[in-house]
Amino acid sequence: MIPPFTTITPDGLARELAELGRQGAAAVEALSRIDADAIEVGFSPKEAVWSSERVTLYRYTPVVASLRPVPLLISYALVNRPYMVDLQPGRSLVESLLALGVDVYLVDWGYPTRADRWLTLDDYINGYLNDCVDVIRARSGQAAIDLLGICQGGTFSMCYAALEPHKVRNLITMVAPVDFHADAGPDCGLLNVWARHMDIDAMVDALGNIPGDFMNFGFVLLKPLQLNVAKYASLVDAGGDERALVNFLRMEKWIFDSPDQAGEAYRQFLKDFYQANKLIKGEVEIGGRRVDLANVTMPVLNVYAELDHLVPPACSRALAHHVGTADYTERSFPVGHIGMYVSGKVQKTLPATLVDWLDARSTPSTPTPTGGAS
Amino acid sequence: MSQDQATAGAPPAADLFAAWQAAQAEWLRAWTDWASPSSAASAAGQGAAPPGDGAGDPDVGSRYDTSDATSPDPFAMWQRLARQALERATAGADPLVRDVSHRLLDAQQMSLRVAGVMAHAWRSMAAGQGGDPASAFTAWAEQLRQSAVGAPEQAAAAADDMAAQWRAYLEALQRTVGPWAEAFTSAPDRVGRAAAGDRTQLGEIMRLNWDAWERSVGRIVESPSLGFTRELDEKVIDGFETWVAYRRAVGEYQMVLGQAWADAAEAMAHALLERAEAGKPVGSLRDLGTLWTEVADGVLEAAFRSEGYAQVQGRMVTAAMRYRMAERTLVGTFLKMTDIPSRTELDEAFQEIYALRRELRALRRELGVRRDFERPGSAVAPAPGRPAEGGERP
Repeated sequence: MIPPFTTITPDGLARELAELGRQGAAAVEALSRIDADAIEVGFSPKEAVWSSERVTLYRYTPVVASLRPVPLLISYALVNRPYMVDLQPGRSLVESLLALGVDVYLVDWGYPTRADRWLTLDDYINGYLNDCVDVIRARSGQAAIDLLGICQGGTFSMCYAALEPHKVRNLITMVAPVDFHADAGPDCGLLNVWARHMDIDAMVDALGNIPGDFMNFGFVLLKPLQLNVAKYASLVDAGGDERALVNFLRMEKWIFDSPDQAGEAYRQFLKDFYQANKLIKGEVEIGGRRVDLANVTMPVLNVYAELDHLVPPACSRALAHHVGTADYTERSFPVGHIGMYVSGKVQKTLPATLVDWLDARSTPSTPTPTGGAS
Repeated sequence: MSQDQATAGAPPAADLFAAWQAAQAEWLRAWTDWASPSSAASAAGQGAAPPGDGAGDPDVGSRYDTSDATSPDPFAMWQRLARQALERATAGADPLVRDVSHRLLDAQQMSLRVAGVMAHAWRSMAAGQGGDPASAFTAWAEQLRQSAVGAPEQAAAAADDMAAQWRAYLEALQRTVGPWAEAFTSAPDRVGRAAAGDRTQLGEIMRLNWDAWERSVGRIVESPSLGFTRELDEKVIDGFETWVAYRRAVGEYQMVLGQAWADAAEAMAHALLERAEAGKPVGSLRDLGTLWTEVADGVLEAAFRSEGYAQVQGRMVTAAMRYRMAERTLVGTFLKMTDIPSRTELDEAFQEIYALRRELRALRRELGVRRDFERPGSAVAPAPGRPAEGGERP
């Protein structure tokens, strides 16, 4: 005899549906009251200090009188918008770093158009990123600056630090892949496996730039029910709490604000990094220059998420075996990839972790005639 | 009720709630009837009884369109009423708000659907297997798999139906090459032989239709040569071949995906049975939704991580890209005839512009950076590039 799978009775179901309906209606009504301006993201005041084509370098307005002398440049991934690091008050890595006296810069890669289809990794790393670093060096008078690379931006930062080690004082990588084949078995990275079976040349030749929506399709399949259904069902728990709903909408806005990927840069990143795993083999070439991670001789802090489905920990932690520095530190947090930026718990400890690590390596930089923090 | 009325400002929560509740009452009435042991339709797995006419709220009919009240699908009725209420409530709201609200509704509907599917499964098993859970599950799971995946031979036959594929290809072409494709839509009987693999037959079809083009537009814009016509025929046929390959790859992908969903549903049934046998059956719709999310995500994640899935997905994407390239070649041919720049020509122009931009950036860098920049203790460089004008771009 098969036992009944539920104790739900028609009356009970009616009551639950009525309650769900009431909660759903309240959530929708509260949502509909939210003004578009309230969903704005990237709230910390900042100034655009340099731009080239789509790329803009921002400097966040300091909030303390005594700044750390060495500026920190944040390099985010190309696949999503960098305002994730400054999503909202209380959930902002930038806000916390500013409060701790860090002179924070951020490179915004912009929204590539079809005209940017030919941009390569050489343009991004040896071009724009190098220009940003030089601008900050000039403005601050520091010969070398601190570099914080996040996700794909972390991989870019590793490459840059290997190519221009004298310009990077300290390197921090966060949820950044370095060994794209390190994962295996049931915990393997979904994107790693998928990428190995894609004809990247066909994609770029056919599409030019790779649409952001294509990337998003892959991301939401990481947890299809949770990300496509359950998280919306949970909106009823907000109980009409406008603040909670605005927070939800900000995240939602970020998730689906995905720039297209410049075709040639995508081609090289997917083929050389994801498919051929050339970075750890020392075979990646950026603009004709070989990237040898052994040249990463500055102090390195590698921060990874223990529950990361996008960049499994093993893919990040492999960095330890390939960098040339003797000063290598790892820190991890019990969150997923996105939780690293937005988890309240992480945001309470991550900024201080970064600054403490930097402060412990705060030997004055080579002074320059125009030196000093701006 | 008109669309204007339906979207004229956000109603108070009470009104929205009333409409929502009325919609749910409709669904509930139909669902309980459908899930009732006395319902022959339920036992036979034939769907649900009509959901009624909105009796839960006598005013609902005046505010919302209940014209499909006799729909045999209670979900359709519920969805329609709830969605109308939603659209009223979010009229004029930010598009992101509207999208999220609709997703909330979809999410609630998912729980209802899962409840319905599982109730259906339990009744099917109980009715057909004499109470033996193991064999009942096996039979139900097989039925589920058949409905989700379909018979492989049927799928293969559909993919090999070249006449149908040809029609679908033309429809796809119609969307991209517009009026140009009209000349091809009267494909004669030769498509049957062409479908069997005879490319010359397809070529013949193309030539027949090309005559139509030459008789009309071709005369105005000076028709191309016969040689060019044959070249175009080849492109059309090449496009058709990539189309067929793409459709086959999609079919293969859908089978794998259907298998994964069937596995998820079977795992859900097992999870429910385990809980029931442990004396902890699901006690609420919400618990059911939570369990479904956990169980299904586990199964789907495992499926999506498998090499088999990655291979099939990779083949589908690649086939889609090859079709896209063939399509672009064809479209480019038409555009060239009418002196409109094609995608390929624009890409070439962009490549030239890109090269110039690179040179400009390099020159700026060279002019802006002093040679003593790299030496320790020396002055640092002025900024390469140019200072930003400020402001965040959209």
